[in-house]
Amino acid sequence: MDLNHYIQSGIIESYVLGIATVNEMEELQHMRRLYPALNAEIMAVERRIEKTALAEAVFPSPYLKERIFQRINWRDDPPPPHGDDQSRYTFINIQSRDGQHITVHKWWRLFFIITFILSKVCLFFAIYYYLKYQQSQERKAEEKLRLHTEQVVGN
Amino acid sequence: MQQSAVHIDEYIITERLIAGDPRTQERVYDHYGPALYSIILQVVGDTRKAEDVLTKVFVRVFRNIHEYKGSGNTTLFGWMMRVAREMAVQEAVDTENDPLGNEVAKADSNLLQRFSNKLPAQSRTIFHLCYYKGLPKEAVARILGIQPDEVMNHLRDIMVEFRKFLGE
Repeated sequence: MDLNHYIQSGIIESYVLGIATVNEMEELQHMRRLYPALNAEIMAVERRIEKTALAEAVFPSPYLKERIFQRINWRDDPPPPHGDDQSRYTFINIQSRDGQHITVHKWWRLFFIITFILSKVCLFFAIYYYLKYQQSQERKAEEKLRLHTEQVVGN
Repeated sequence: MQQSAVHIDEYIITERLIAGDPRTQERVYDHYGPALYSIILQVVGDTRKAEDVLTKVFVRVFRNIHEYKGSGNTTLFGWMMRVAREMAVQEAVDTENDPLGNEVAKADSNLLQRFSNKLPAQSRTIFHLCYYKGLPKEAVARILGIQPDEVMNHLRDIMVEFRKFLGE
């Protein structure tokens, strides 16, 4: 492909403005590898637009700078350590601070369930043995009464 | 000579931005911020939205400065300009539905508007849909009821015109 013809085709301007298609971009990257002189052409177009854009700049609200840098500093703090996403989160405890609530480890739940079941088992045995004891006491009393009656009748 | 001086300056600026130097970040904002704001404002047409986009652009530029270095970009402004336009188009897509709407005859206040106002009606619409609306050629063809190839040919002619316009 004739380099000069390629340069004149408007492909560079299309790329610089960001409206080139994917195919055109790939073609341009290929051509840049073949003809490094294209880089200077791209640079020249970008510089020309830059010069005009700087001359025709519109100033945003003066408060914007502070807002942008607050955002940037907030994002930068703490600096990202080797792309570890976890460390970028801030953990916030949203529990009420009225002093009426406590936070405990989840193992306590298991502990409370076991304690509850054990207490029920103990209660069951307590009632069971109480009834057994009562039964045996009654039987003993009956036995005593029977012996006493037999003695009285014997005499 | 001037070209190389600018290049060296840009190289140093980029290195400092990669290092996260806050003073360089401020200098870059002061120097390029208003120019980028103007580019964004042309696309979104609303100062509040344009300020939001400019914020996002600088966050992205400072955080992803390696993107500039790594993907064969030439000048820092060229890269920032493309990032700004892309993000502005995205913002405009998110907030409006009618692609032909909002095509007001803009004043000759900047380069692209001056260029656009010089174009014949159909070319102006094609340029508007491609640059300001960021639509792919197929979508532009559908809207105008012509073939995508015709859009491509028109756009090529428009870019040749733009090249001449820049040289004037």
